[in-house]
Amino acid sequence: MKTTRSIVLAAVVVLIFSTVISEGVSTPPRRIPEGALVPEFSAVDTTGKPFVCRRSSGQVLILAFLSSEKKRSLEAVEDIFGALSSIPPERLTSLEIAFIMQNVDNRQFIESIQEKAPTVVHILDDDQYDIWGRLGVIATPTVLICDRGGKVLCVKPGHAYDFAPVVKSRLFQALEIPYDDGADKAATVRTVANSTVSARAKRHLQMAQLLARKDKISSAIEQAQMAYEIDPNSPKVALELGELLCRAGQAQKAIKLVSSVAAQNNRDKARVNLALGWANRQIGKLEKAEEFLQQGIGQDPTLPRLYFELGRIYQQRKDSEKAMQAYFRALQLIYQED
Amino acid sequence: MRKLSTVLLIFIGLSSYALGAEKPQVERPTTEQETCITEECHTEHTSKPVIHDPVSEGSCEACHETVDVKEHTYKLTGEEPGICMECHDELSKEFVHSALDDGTCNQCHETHSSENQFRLLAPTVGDMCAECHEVAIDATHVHGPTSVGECTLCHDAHESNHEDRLVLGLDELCVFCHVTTKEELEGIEFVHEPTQDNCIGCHDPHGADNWKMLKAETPEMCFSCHEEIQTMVQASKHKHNAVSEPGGCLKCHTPHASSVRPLLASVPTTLCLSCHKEPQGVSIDEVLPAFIDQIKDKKYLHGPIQENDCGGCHLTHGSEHFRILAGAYPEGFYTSFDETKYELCFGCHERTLVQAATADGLTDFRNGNQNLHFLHVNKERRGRTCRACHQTHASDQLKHIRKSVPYGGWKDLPINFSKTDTGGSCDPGCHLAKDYDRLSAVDYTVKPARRKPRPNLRARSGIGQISSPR
Repeated sequence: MKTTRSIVLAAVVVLIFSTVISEGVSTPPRRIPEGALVPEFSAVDTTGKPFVCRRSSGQVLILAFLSSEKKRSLEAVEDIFGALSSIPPERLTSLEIAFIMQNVDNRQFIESIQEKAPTVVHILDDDQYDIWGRLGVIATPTVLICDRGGKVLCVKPGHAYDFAPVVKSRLFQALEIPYDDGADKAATVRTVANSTVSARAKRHLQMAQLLARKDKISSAIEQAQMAYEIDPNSPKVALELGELLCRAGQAQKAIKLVSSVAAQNNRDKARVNLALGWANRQIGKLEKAEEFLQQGIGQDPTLPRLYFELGRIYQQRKDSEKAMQAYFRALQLIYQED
Repeated sequence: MRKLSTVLLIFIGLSSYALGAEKPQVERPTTEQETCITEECHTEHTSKPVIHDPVSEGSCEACHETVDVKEHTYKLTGEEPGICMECHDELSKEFVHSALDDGTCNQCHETHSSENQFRLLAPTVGDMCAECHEVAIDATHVHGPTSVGECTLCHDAHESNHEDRLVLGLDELCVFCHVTTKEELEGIEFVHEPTQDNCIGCHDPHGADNWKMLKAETPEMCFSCHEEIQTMVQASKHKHNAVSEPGGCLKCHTPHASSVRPLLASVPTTLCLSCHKEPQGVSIDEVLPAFIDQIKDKKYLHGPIQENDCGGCHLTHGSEHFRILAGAYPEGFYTSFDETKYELCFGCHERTLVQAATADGLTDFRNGNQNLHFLHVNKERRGRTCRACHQTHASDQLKHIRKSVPYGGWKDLPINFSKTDTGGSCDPGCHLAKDYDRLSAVDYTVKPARRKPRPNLRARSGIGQISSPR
C-alpha cells in the first residue's frame, strides 16, 4: 500500500514538474520585469568617476542601454533629455543617470551627450555585456526607471511612438512630481478632432455671433440655423438662434424653438425666459412677456437684456418711471456699475 | 450740308428729350444758399435710403466750396482720399487696400447716397469685392464667410497691420471661429508647423474643389512640403500602396496635431491593422495574409509588436527591402553569413550576438560561454537565418522560438524547443537532439543517443529546396 502511495506521489510530482517545464513557468523572460528590484552593481564611468547602483540610495535611477551607432538610440537620448529638461532643476539632484554602452569609442556621440545633458550623466563602458546580462537586456535602446527604493517602475525597450510621453510620465511618477498624464494615458494617442459635431456647431455659432455684431442678422440666423441642425441638443446653440430670431422680429419661430430647450443651469433658464419674454412682447402679449422676464431675472439677475425688454414693456404701457428704472438697470449691467 | 445740319439738330433734340431735358428748367441760384438740396435741386442725392451724413444734414460745404457763386460753380474742398480723411480716420496701417492707394474711395462707395449699407456701389460686401476679386468661383467647397459674401469677417476693407488686410494675425484669425481646434491644440504636444500660424499653407481660405478646402488632394498636398517622403514613396523598390492612394497620408497621420510623433492618428498597430486585419493584395500576383492571424492569442510578441511599433521594422512609406523592411534581412532559411544581410535586426540587437564565438551576459543561448547564435548563423555556407528558429512577429514559445519552420515542401519541420532555467534543448529536423546549459556546458564531443523516429511528425518531402518562410 505504502509502495503504491509512493508511486502515485512520485507520478504526481513528475507530472507537475513536467507541466511546469513545458509551460515555461519556471523560465521567465530574460529581461528584468517591472516591479522587480534592480540588481545592485558598481562601475566606473568613462571620466573615471564611480557609479554605484544601490537600491537604498534614495535616488531615482535611470539606466539607459544605448548604442552610439543606432539611430533609435540617438533619438531615445534626445527624448530622455527632453524629459529631463521638463523637470524642475532642483529635482534633478534626486536623479542618478547612467548610459550603458559597448561602443564608447564614438567620441562624437559621447561629447554630444556630455554637451546636451541637462544634468550629470554617467557613461558606462559595458563591453563585456556584464550589466546588460544582469538586467537581461535584449536590444537597444532599453530604458529602465527605478523609484527611490530601487523598484523598477518602467522598462521601455525600443523607441516606439510613445517612448517620450511614457518615459516622461514614469520619471515624474518616480520623482513624485504631479503630472496629468499617467503612463497609461501617455501611451494613448490624442489628436485634434475638429470634425466632431460640437466643433462644427461651434464654428457656425461663432460666425453667427460675428455676423450679428455686424448687424447682419439674416446671415447670422443662417449660420445659427446650420449650427442648430448640426447640434439640435445644445441649449447654447438653440438660445443663440432664438435670440437672433427675436432680433429679426420672428417671434413665433423663436417661441417654438426656445420652448423645447432643455436648459440645465440658471443662466440658460434665464435666457429661455428672456427669449420667450422678448418674443411675447413682440406679438403684443405684454403680461405673459413680463412674467417670463421676471422669472428670468429671478434665475439670473445679471442679464442686461432682461431689464431692457422689461423697460420696453413698461414703455409700451406708458409707465415711464418703471421703464426708466429698467433701462437704467440694464445700462448699469452693461457698464458693470453698481 | 444743310441736310447734315438738319439731321444733327434732330439728333440733339431727341437726345435732350431722352436725357430729361424736357423737364422744366430750374434757374440756378446765383447767391449763397442755406443748402443745395431742395425740392427742386439735387434731390437725387437724398433719394436713396443710405445717405452720407453731411448730405442728410444739408452740409454740402463739408466737401464742396464755391468757385463762383454767380456762375453757380463749385469744387471739392480737397482731393480724394484726403477730403474723406477730413472726417474719416486717416489710413495709418501697413497694408492698405489698393483701391485707396489709387486715391479714390468712390471705387466702392457712393458719395451722396446709396441703396446699400455703407453706401456701397454693390448690394452686398461680397458683390462689391467680387467686382475686382475673383475668389472661389464655382469651388465645390466654399468657406462659410465666402459663401455668405462676408469678406469683411476676415479682411478689413480699408487697412490692416496684417498681410492681405486680415483683421487678425493668422495665428488668431482662423481659431477665432474654429474654437474647438484652438482648445484641442492647447493640450497636444506635437503640432504640425503650419497649424500654429499658417492654416492657409494647406487650406484655401476662400474655397476649393478639394475636401476641407485643401489646396490639393493628399498625398500631393503633403508632398508639396515633404519632398523627402515623396521621393521615398515614389522611388522605393518596395512601395506601400496605401501611401500613394488618394487620401493616403491621412490614413495614418492627423494633419493638425497629435500627442505622439509623427502626428499619428492613432496607435501604430491599430493603424496598420485597420487594413492588415484583412488579407491585402500587394500586387496582382501576391496577396499578403491577414497580419492579425499572426499575433492573435499569441503568448509572446516580438518587442516592436509589444510596443505597438510596426514602424520599428517596417518603413511605412516605402523601402528598398522586401515587405518594406527598414533594413536588409534574408528572405530564406539559409544564407552565407555577412553582417550587412542583417541590417534590420542589428537596428536593435547587438551585432556581437552573431560575431563573437563566446559570450556571457550578451545572450542566454549559449553552452557555457559558447555563443550558439554565432554557431548557427555565422557560417560561410548554409548559415541559418534568424527566421530559421524565430517567429518574427509572435509565437507561443519564449524567445519567439518557432514550433516548426517551413522548409522546402515540408510545411512543419519541427524544432521541439524546450527551456530550462539554465539552458534548454531542441530536437529539430536539422540535427540530432541537443541540449545547452550556460552553467554546466554540455560536451558536444560525446555523440548523443540516436532519437526515436517520429514518423507522424516528419513526413518529409521536397528536402533540399530552400523556401522563404514568412
